[in-house]
Amino acid sequence: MKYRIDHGPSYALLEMDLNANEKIVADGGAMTWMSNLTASTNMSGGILSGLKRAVGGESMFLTTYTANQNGGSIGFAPGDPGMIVDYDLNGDVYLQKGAFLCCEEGVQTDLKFQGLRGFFNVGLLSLKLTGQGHVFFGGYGDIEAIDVDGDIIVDSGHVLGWEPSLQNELSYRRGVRNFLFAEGMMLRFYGRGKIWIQSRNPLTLADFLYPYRPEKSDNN
Amino acid sequence: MDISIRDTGLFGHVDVTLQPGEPFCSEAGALFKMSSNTHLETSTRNRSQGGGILKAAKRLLSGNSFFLTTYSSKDAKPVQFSLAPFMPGDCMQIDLDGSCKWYSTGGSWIGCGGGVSVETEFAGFKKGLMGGEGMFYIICSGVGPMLVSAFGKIQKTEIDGEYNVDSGHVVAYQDTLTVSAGVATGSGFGGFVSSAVVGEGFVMKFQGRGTIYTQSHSPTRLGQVVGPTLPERS
Repeated sequence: MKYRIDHGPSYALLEMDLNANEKIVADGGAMTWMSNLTASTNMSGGILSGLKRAVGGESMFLTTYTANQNGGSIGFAPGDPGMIVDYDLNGDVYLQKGAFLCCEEGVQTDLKFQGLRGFFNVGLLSLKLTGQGHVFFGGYGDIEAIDVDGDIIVDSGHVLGWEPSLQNELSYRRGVRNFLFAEGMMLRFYGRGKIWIQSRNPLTLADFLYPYRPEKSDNN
Repeated sequence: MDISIRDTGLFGHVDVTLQPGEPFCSEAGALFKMSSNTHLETSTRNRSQGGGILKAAKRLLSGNSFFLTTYSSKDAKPVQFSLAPFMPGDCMQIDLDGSCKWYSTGGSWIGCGGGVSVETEFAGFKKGLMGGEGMFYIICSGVGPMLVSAFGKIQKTEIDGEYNVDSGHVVAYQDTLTVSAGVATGSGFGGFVSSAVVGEGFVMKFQGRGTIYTQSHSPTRLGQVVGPTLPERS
């Protein structure tokens, strides 16, 4: 497998060349174009895993793309304008809801509940990837990978992924009104490991657009 | 204080390093990461005006949740934090030299530091509601850096005479300019009606000499384009 990430960080597009019979597993909506590949959709890991993925913001179905005898190529893009990151997984990594694009065959996906701290915001569920191989994920805006040694505090809407060697906890701020009106949840990540942060928050964009919804018509 | 603007294509953001004791404040929602020794105080109060619920509610209406966050150090060591808007676009630093005040539209202002003080102003019916620009302006005065953001690219224009800008595209301008609201087509009631019919925005008419920063895209327009595709309000 050879890959390149073009047009980043504004409109990153991931393009791959696969050797004969090589496979890549992707989120249902991530494929932009493909050539000389066979696609098969399966509910990887059974119905329960599929349902859990759906709750986690990914598609219920993962699509497996297999290259034909002469090799094939394929492109992937995230739903929002922004950067794509590749990560050479050997072990575990957590991804925020909706960030996952695709991975090599040796990687399994599972969903993990993150407990109370995500209850009020996007981070209720995150995807846990396990195994060996390349993992690709995307975000809204530029993505910064930070090697934490000590701690860092990040807005939950900007956390894209983190290595499991990092612990995290809710970092409360003074007063309730911060929480209701302003920053949302700030998470403190501590320990040693890598964290990926996106420079824009899709939730805030949604908040901005929310008041532009049409009024309910009286006819109903 | 060290401010560096990370311009990565569409997505500018601001990295700030603050020495202990140096003042800095930002729009509350702009903060997205910080070192753990950063002490935050988010308040509905700003430096030169009184606080209280009403003022806070007004700030809430000014495009963003306009609460000010002030930053300081917990442990007498420098603190680092990063600020970003939510729209894809530029971030920019404007250095205030004290010679004039700067007006920034509610959604564009990110923060300021040093000797810059912040006030909000109700833009009034003409400039605000009709202009679609959020009802409030952030007014910065004093000496120091002020940070603004844009939806798209920021363009700088030196006005000498007259300059009309669609209200959704204004980022910041010097108060040496006088501003009035109008419509692009014609004048008087006829122009008002035809503008409303065509769906054209209201323009802000700038006169005099001074600098203005405008943005290539209007967040309001995005709202108008995307909004109708969303489910109805319940």
